[in-house]
Amino acid sequence: MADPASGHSTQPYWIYPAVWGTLIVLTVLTVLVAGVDLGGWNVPMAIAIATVKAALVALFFMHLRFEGRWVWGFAVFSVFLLFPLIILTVTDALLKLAR
Amino acid sequence: MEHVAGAEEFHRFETSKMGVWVFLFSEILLFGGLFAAYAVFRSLFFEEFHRDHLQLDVTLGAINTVVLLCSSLTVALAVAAIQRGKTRLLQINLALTILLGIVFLVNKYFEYSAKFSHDIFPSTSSFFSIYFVMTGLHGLHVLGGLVALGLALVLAVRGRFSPTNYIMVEGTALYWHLVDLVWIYLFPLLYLVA
Repeated sequence: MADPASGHSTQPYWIYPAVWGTLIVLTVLTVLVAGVDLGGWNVPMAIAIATVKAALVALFFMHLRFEGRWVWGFAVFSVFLLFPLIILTVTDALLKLAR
Repeated sequence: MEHVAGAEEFHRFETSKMGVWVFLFSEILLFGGLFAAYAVFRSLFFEEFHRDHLQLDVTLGAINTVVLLCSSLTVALAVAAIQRGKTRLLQINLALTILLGIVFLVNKYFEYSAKFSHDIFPSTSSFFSIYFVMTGLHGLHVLGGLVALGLALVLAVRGRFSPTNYIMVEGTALYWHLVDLVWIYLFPLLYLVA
């Protein structure tokens, strides 16, 4: 995958429109699923589909799949910092503020 | 000499790219804090959230989502182009990305003015304060991205980039993808399932 002259990893052109097409389909899916009443599952479903889209953008458009352990380490670290940040804040709010 | 210069240039490229990624992660935490605020307000004011979010224009939001996805495609193709030394293709794709970014901001202008004319402001409710702050901050990021993309385009037209010298394009593209990433989460959470 690495270009011999510059050493940078390249992907064949067709990857980009292919990922783009998948993203468009997933966007349509997001809108359709949101129109269906899934009880309390609408938000998790929306987030799940959004995460798949985010993964596609990160891996293929941002070339994350070619990056080494330092970038991946930072990526994993921030995501694992983000989830507790959101979940614990919400839990705290619900326990303290919702009387 | 040629061999050594190539290795040093590659090292500089990788280091600069690492710097950009660290910046992107700080941006993720910035927006992450706002998403946490969204989550808190949504749990505390569920009915108000639902009632208010119905006033958002889903069609315009969906169009903006597609616009940003297309702009991510064009900026990714711009990078792919310069990796192969295709300067013309680089310029065209950078210009398209900028155009799409402008379309996004124009749409946001229409959305905001419609809200204001209906007496809806950030102070109207907690949902709308979240909505305006998050989309507003995101819009500012889009604007900043357009400035960077504009600079990249000017440099590209002047022939400053090559397959061994394009880190500025790569960095700008990475930032632009992040802006798209944030919107990928903003759109469903604000427009669809609030």
